[in-house]
Amino acid sequence: MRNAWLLTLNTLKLIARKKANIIVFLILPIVGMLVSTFVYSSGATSINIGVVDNDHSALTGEFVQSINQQQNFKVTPINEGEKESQISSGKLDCVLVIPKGFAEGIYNNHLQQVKIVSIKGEVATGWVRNYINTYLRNLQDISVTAVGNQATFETLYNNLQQDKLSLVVKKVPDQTHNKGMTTQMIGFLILFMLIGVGNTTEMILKEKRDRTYYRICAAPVSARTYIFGNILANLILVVVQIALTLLFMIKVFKVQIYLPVAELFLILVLFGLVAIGLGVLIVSFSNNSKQASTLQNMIITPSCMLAGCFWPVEIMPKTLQRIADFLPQKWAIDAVQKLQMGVGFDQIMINLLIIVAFALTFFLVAAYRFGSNDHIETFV
Amino acid sequence: MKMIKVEGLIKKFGDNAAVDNISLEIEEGEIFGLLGPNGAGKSTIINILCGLLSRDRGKVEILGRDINKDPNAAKKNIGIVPQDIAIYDDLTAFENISFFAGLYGLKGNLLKNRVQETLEFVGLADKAKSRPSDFSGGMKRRLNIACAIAHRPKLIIMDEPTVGIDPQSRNHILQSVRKLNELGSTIIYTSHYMEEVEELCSRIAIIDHGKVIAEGTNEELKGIVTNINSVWIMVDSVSRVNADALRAIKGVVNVEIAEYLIKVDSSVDMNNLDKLILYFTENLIAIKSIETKTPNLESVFLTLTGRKLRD
Repeated sequence: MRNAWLLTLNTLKLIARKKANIIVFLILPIVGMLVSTFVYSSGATSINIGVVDNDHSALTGEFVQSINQQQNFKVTPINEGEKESQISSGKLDCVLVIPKGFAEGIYNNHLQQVKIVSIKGEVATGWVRNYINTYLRNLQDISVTAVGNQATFETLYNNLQQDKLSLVVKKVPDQTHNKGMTTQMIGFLILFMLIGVGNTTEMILKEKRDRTYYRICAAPVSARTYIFGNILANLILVVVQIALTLLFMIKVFKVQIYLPVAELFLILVLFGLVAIGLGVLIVSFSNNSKQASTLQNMIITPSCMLAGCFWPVEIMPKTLQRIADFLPQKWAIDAVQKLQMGVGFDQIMINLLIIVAFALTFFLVAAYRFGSNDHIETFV
Repeated sequence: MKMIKVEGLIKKFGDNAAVDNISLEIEEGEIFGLLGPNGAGKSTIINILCGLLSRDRGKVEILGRDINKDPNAAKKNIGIVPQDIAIYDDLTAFENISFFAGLYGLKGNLLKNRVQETLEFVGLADKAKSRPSDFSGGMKRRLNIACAIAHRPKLIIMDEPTVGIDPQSRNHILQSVRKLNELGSTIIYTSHYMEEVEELCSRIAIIDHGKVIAEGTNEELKGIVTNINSVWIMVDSVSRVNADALRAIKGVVNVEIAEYLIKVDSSVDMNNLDKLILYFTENLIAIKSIETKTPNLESVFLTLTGRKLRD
């Protein structure tokens, strides 16, 4: 055990002497946070809504106008054909599509759904959806009261428009904004955790190339103890990385995370084990650093993209969402999101078990690979 | 007690037997030379002795402890100086030695003192805080040795420790080897430089194709080739010397021609020196000097295998 600890300290010392490692482990996650803060603050003041009005009725006109009168909504009328290009270019956060015959449906109490199109998920649509649901529910209630009589409907509706019905407004904070920002920050942290740990585990290959690995194994140290020392060093680094990132996130950037810090810390440390397991696994399948770097590039960024580290999984096609189920990052982010929704810790146990299962699988396969490797004849 | 006892050692890589039924015994206090061309099986034997490779068959004991059954106890007694320098460029000389010695259980003041003593022993005391990236090749080699000896092992295995270094560092290393031996360490020494092995080693084993083909003291091995007489003839120019014509002289077993030198090995009982001189005078090739050479390990290997060590 003493030798494992000596190896751990030596690995940490070697890591600390390379500036690039400090940047990857400690600076990049904070840069990721800055990026997230910038992205979310730039879109936080108002939501740009495009409206495709296929009904062109007086009722829909007033409906659109009422949305526009809301402080945080900015409405732009568009054509059906412009919808996708405006959303994909980022000019609009979401588009409301009002179907033809919408007003007629209201009068006859056969409400037709208003379609909301977006690629930004709940952050862009949640607030809008809540507003139009309330508005349309009011119209529906009036329609029920008017029992199909358009004159009665319009009288009641005009009374509502002229504020004859009193409305008390109480503002509540928009949680979706901060929750989305937290998720993206965690996504970035997961990415940099994987990259950082990948670099550290690659040291095993460097030590093999420089022969120090064999000198260590010629001492009273087994290959297993050596790998354990590297894993322990990585775990310490990951814990420091997570603690520092959360400290910056909560104390410096003042991000409301909407879940207990200890639970978030636990999820991330467990994911840290997955990152270490993956790093060791990649090393066990690589003969040199170049091969390991190529494998890391092939695995880390694409899997983070698929798993929802950079954008919500929900906006991806169903097939890709199913692939994401096989990625550990998805389960970590999902656990964070569930806790943000207010579920109990017991509700995320399955997520934690899946994360631990990924870590164990990676470690076991790597252990088997290291055990079967006999390429040491070049030492002496 | 024997320092090393190897019995019937076999190690195969696929169908190729890198070590083929080798038995060796090395006494405490010896400097034991391991000679053989590249691929002879020396490295495989050393890797097995260090516990880095498992054997297929046979028995290996270091000071009576089986390297497979009790690897850590056996490894504690060994210090290995690999041919390729195995040190950390990002650690200072002191930190390098301290780390490797620490793995053998040294700690606290004892570790500090041993590291300091070892730095002085290899002549790097003034470089304790420097990193190897600033060192010359010779200094790196000395640090490579220091990392293997700070824990004062009873057995030191040195593989080509003087490759590619300046004469000053080489002399320093050879002196260090003798001193370590005087201090009580048993040494296994492999080198391509025959003179080093002849000069240092008390016993030598010649390995070829995974087998020990000869073993003994320097004199005992040279005794194998007492039937060969080697004559070195220095001439002005070798352009007119015909090696085949020389080989045709009765008793000649080998001819080598260098820039101004012709090396002729003959059977000792043939007394053909007059015929050799006659060849040169008849062909009007001026002889500058003639020297009779005693056999060396190179000629021993040539006699035993029909090949040169560096072939």
